[in-house]
Amino acid sequence: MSSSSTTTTTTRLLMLKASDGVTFEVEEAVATKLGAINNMVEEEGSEDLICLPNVNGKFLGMVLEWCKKHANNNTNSDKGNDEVNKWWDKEFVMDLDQNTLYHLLMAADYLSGTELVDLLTEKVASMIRGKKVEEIRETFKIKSDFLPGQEEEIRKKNSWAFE
Amino acid sequence: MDQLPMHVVALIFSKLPTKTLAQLKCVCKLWSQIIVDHAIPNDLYPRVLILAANSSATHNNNPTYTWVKEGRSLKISSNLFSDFAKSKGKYHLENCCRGLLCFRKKSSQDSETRACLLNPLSQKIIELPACASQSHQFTSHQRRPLFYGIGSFRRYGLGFDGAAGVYKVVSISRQICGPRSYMKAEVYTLGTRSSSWRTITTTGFTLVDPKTALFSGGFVYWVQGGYFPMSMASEKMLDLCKIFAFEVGKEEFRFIPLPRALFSAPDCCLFFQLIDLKGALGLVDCSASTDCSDTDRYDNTFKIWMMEKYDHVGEGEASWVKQYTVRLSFIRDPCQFTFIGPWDQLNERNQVLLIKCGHSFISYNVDSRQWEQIHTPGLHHSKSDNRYLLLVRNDKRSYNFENPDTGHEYTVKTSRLADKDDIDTQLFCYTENLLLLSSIFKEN
Repeated sequence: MSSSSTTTTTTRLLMLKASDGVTFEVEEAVATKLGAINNMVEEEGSEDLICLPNVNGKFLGMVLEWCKKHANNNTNSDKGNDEVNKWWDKEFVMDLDQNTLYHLLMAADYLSGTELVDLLTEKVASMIRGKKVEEIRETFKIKSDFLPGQEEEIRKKNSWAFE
Repeated sequence: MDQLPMHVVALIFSKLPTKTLAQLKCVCKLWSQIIVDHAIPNDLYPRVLILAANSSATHNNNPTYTWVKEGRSLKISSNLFSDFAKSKGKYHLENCCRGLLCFRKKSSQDSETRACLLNPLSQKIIELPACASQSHQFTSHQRRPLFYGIGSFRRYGLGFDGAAGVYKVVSISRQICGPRSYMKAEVYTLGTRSSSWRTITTTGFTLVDPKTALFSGGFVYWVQGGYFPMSMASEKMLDLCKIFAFEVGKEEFRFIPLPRALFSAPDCCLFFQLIDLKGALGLVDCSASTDCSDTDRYDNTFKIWMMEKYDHVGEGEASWVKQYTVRLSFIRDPCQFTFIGPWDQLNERNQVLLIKCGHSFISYNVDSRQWEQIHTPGLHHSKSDNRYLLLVRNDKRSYNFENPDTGHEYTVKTSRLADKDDIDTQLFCYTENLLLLSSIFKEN
C-alpha cells in the first residue's frame, strides 16, 4: 500500500554535485534529511543542481545512502521500522575504518545531518569507552605531546578518575 | 582524529561519562584543551553523582565529605577536595547546582562572608567579590544597639538559569539592629566579564533564619527557621511557615505556602525536608512519624509531596500533590533519615530515592516499595561482615548498628577513632550532571 502511494506522488529530483564532479540524482525528500540542503532548497527554490565543493563523491554517496534509508522509513509509520532502522544503523557503522568514519563525520557535519552526526559521534565515543589512556593513544594513533612531568601533574589533579 | 573540527570532537566527548573525560585530559594537549575549553553539553548522558556534606566538627579544616557514585555503590573520595581543603578559611556548604558547589567562606581578615564556588571535578575554585551591601556601619557617636547582630544572617544560593544558560549566585541577608531590620538581596551572574553584585528588590519579604538552600527546576528554595509554639493555630502556622523561593531567570522572590495537610494533624510537630525530584520540588513530610503519643510503636511513614507548577500570577496556594508514601520500619528516630534526592539517573523512569539512614545509605524504589542498602566502601563500618546492618550512630568508642530485618541493635567497640563518619545530616548536598570545566571558569 505505502509503496504504491509513494510512486504516485510526484517527487522532485535534485542533482547533488560532489567535489570530484560525481553527481547524484536524489529525491528531494531524501536530500532534505540534510539540514544544509533543506536550507538551500527553501531559500533558492528553483535551483535543481546543488554543488557541494567540500564533500568527496565517495562520502557523499554514503551519506545519501543513509538519508535514503531514513527518509523511506519515515514515510511508514510502522513501529517495527524503528527497530529495523536501528539495526540498519548498526550495520552501517560496524565495519567503517577510522579514515572513512572521520570523513563521513565531517561530511555529515558540513551538511548538517544531525541524526547522522549523532550516530557517527556515538560510534567514535564507543571506541573510547572503557579504554585506558595508553590504549586510547594506540587506537587513535596519538602521540603524547606533554612535557615530562605534565601528564603526572594532570593525573594527580584528576586522581579521583583513576581511582 | 586530529582532522576533525574541534566542535565535532567536543560532540564525541559529550557522549562520554565525566570520569572518562577526566582521564582523557591525559591523552594529549589538544584533547585536554578541548575538554577544558568546551562546556560539554551533558544533559542527556549519565554523569557522576556526587554527595557532599558539611562536617559537624567545626574545627575541622576539611569542609566536606564527598561520595562518588560507582555503579551501585557510593565511594568516598578524599581526592575531590584535596586542593580545596588546603586553602585557608572556613567553608560552609550552601548548596549544589548542576555540578557546582556553593560555599559560604569566612576568613579571618574579612568580617563578611563571601560566596565561593567549587567545581569538584576540576578542583577550580572561584571566590566571588564581597557583596555590595556590607554590614550597617556605625559612626563613632552612634551607639551599637543592644542585641546587635542576633538574628542577622547572610546566605548564598547557587542557581542555574536554563533559558540564558548561566549560573547565578543569590545572596540574601538580613541585619537586625535593635528594633530595625534590613533585608537585602543581591545577584551575581557568572560568566560575564564585568560581573558584579546587583541589588534586587526584597520589598515585602522578611525571612527568619533560612536553612540550607535547594536548587530545583529554576528556583532556589529556602526553608524558614524559627520557633513555633505547639499551641499555635494551624491557620497562623500556615501563614508563617512558608518556603522562600528565588526564581533564577526572572530574579524575583516569592513565598510558597506549605501543603495545608501538614498542619491538619492535632498537636502536629512540623518536620519536613525539601528535595529535588528531577526538576520538581518535593517535600518530605516527616511529621506524622514524630507523633510521639505511642512511644512503643513508631511507624516511620514519610509522605512525599510534589509541587505542581506554581501559579505565580495570583497569590493563590501552591498546588501540592501527594506523590508517594515511604515506609521504613527500621531505625526508630525519624530525625535519622535524610532524603537526599533521586538515586537513579535522570533519564530513567522509575523513581528511586537516595536516603541516608543514620550513617548508612539506602536506595528506595517508590513504585515497588523496596529498599536496598548501598555499599559504601571507604567507611569503616562498611566491612563485609556487617554489610547488611545499618549504622545508626557512632561515638568515639563504638558503632551502633541495627539489623533492619530483626530490629536488633548491635554495638561494636572500636579502638580507632573515625571522625570520617561524623557528618552533619542537616546539610547535605547532592549533584549530578557535572560540567568538567565550563567556560565560566575561564572568564572569572
